Amino acid sequence: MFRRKGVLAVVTAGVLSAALAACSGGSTATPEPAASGTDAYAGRSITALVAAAGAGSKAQYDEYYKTLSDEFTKATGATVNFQFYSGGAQQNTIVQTSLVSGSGPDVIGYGSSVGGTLAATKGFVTLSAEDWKRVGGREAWNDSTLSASGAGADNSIGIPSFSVPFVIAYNKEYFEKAGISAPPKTWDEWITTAKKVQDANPGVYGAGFDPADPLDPWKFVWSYTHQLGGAMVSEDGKDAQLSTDEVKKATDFYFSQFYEHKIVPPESLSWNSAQMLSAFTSGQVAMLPIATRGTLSAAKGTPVEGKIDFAQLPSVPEGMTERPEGGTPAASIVSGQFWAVFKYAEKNKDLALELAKVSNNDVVIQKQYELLGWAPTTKDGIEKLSKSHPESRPFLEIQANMEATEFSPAWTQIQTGLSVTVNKVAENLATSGQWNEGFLNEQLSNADQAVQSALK
Amino acid sequence: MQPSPPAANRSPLSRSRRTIALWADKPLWMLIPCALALIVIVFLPVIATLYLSILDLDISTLREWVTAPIIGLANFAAAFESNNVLGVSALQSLGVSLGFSLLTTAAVTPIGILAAIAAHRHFRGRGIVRAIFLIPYVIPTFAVALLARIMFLNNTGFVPQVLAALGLSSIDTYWLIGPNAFWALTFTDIWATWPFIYLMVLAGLQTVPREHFEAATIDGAGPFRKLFGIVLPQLRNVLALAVLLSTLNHFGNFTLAFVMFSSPPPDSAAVLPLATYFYAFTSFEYGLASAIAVLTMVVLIVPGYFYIRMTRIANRIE
Amino acid sequence: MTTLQSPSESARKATKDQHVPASTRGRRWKPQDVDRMLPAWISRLVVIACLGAVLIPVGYMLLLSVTPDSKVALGEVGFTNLAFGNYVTMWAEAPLASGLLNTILIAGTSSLLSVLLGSLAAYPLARWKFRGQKTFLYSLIGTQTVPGTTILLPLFVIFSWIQTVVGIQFIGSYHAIILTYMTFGLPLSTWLMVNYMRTIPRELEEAAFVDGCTRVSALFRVILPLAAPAMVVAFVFAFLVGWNDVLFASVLTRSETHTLAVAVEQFANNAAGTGIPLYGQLMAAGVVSSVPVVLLYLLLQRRMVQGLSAGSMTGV
Repeated sequence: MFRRKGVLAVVTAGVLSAALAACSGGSTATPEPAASGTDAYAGRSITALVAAAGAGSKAQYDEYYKTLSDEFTKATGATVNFQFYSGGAQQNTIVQTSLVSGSGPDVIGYGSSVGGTLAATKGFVTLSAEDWKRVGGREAWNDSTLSASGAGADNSIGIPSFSVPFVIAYNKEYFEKAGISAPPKTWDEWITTAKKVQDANPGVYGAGFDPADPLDPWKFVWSYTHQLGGAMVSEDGKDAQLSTDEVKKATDFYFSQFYEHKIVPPESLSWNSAQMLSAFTSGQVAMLPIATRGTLSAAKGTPVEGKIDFAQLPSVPEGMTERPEGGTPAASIVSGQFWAVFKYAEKNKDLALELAKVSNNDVVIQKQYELLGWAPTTKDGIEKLSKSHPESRPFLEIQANMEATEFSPAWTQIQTGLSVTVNKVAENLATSGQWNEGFLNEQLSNADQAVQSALK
Repeated sequence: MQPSPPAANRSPLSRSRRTIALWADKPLWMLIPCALALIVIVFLPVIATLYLSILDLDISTLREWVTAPIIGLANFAAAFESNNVLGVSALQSLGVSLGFSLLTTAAVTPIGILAAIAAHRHFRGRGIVRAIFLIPYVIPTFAVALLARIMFLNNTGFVPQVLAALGLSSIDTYWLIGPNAFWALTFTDIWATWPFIYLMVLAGLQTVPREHFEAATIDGAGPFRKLFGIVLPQLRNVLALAVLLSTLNHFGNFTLAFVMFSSPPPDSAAVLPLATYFYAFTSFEYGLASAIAVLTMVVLIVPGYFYIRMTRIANRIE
Repeated sequence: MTTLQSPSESARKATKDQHVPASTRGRRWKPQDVDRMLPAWISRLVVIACLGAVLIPVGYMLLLSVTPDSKVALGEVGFTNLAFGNYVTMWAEAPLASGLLNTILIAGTSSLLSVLLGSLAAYPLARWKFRGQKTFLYSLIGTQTVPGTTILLPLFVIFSWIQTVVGIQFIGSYHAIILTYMTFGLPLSTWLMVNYMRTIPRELEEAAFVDGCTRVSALFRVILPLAAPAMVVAFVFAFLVGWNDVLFASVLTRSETHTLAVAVEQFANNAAGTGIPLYGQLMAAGVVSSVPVVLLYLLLQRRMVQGLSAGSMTGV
């Protein structure tokens, strides 16, 4: 009985491996050389894996994707089918299953921060100089934008599509009442501004806080760490740096808003970004640290409609008048979408490159800004948008100050490690009611070890 | 007009030579579609999981997993180390899962039995009551989880508000993070699954012959003695199976914790299926995830086997 | 044709027809107390407590579903300013309508197939003895220990292999997901049918065999009509598998074949991911995804109790 099972196991493993070898390695036919013009593409189609519509803006997303698809067909005569993922977990699941089975979508529109993870899978086409030329040349983009496209010019996998800079959002009315004329530029000012707002508007808290969110807290900690001159991994990419002083200070500052300065709502330790945003749109808090222009659509029909303004994230750490040496403004991560081609779909690379090119054309960049507030990524596009939509300039300036997250194969672990640390520290703070620096250090060193073992 | 007991299967008639001849031809081919489906959809993936669990399979080798190096039991060793990115070792997750599934089963069993007994006898509106009792079990798990996520929210949620009004805990008690998350998860699961036991027991109660009650009544037995002396022993098999299925379902429940908590989940609610999912699909450590899956199966199959032997669930079939 | 009554029916009749014998001993008791297993007040208390435990959260869910999104987030839930509009706007927020249709199609087909294949397999298991029978039955329970999170990836590989070999688009099609759910429903379906079939007297088939009936037609003409109550139970349990699953559907379906569970999950994800709390609408979506299954259960509730009771699990 046992022996029979053993044989079965061997046979099935063999069948599986054979199947896999057949579908993952088999199709490495070199793509046809650049054949511009409609004929080469007519009748073909590709599948693109892209982000599903954000809440409250399905109609806008639908229209954006329709524009993209129409433009693509117009340019090539081919069609593009969209497949959607919602959230990082589902994106990872689909990518993983596709890579392992060697089948699935041809091209993915990935969020900038997962670039390192995707590159580490070696499952995506490395773009050649020739490929870049076909989408307009690397020089069409700023270097900071391209830093989320791959580790250096020779190892890039992603072509920028659109950008969504992170900003702070604030309630103009509360600022006026408190006699504040300009948004904070340093973190000291952030705290004093928040306190002034609280004094002038009883019942209102200075800032929003969402330590239970999977995404916002690490962005905050990341920016602050970089402003202090730190980074999450060493320059050579070999050593994890999650338990450095910079990261500790950054996380400590994040929580000091709660336990020391008391500028955030006392019940906010279990909040995620949705709850933080609804506190903002209902007028309970005056500032949001990690916001996008999408806040405007969330505010429609709420008490704060028409009272919102945006500014760059404060960029000088607490207790300082200027950034320490090595510190960068790190106003926002290079955020937005990049296109990468699955290796198993290399035969459709030509079409995928066309799609990337179309996603940066004049029609699409106008449409994406009008519909969703997304900024263009090419130098040319930025210039055109700032001419046609002057009100977009502040955002475009912030975009110039964007900084790419560390392009590391362990980025997922870094991000999860930071989120988990912040979540746990919040839990600890919620249950003990006291700030415990030792606990923070312990959690960070755990996370650091986990990242280190992923970097091995 | 006698109720046909299973013993009818072996009536004298069926032993005659003619009938034996009638039954001679076994249509075993009828098993094939079922077996084939189970092999392709369940057993092959399980075998693959066994194989993957001894491979060095992570983000960089995943795509070429056929050629990934075999590293023996290293993944199993790694599963018990605590310095993973979630900060929860497989051992801790196992503890959470065991605690969660045993506790919920221990709670839903008496609740289900009581409810079934109460709804068994005739009273006005019994039909409606019986129907209402089933609702929590039927509401999809993801909907229950979303509801729980809103109801347990500190300060603004229904649960903290009620508990505060009753003076039992502060309205600022955190239920979705920290150690309390375990209780929020357990409580929600109990709420959603007790009707399963209720349904099984209610069904079982229909089969207890009224004569047994009459005899006991004549002997002067009170309600409790009927319950413990007659009914529960008769329902032994139903209960044994219901409890087994219920424990397995609780243990394998991925959706509830996944939707109810933000990801990553709090330590106290990082049940094993969730931990497995995070290894597999968030940090791409598929070898490790497979090792944890194998451990999960071992943990369930070994006691499960003895349980089945002990309770003789399959007795009639053997 | 009294012999063709299902065992459960005849059992019920038998008990109903019986008259309660008059009291013989000194102690007085009322006929309705014969099958009382709990004192009346405890019984009543249990019913009331359970009703409350079920209805309060369900009622709260209904209330949330008609509360404006922002009010839910603030905890201002009450009976003033109800927003029935949630039930209108949510259809445009997420592909719930197509999800609902897909789920009905997918869960419906897979559970029907599951009952059919389960019954087919149950027949030899219930009627004959053969080598490996026990192993087969044990492995049915064994499948329940397999963690879904890990078979997802290998399953996907197998499906994509089938896709390559057969040369059709399999992943993302209705076939793949229906096949998967059907299989997940099979163990319980088979188990239920085996148990039920054992309570059906063999004489009925024997008569059919003598008449020259094949095994298949005996199964379909004689056994299955009698086993209808168990088939209903198996159907409902298998139906819930497809209705509830999020994990497999999120990978094995595409936008056109997304189930309701995936649509609602994505809806919830997006609401959290983009930071826009649509709690009221989410709850409305939750209600909409619950109503069809709740109705199904309520309709079939009585039959389920019958099907489960008549022999399924109860041993001697």
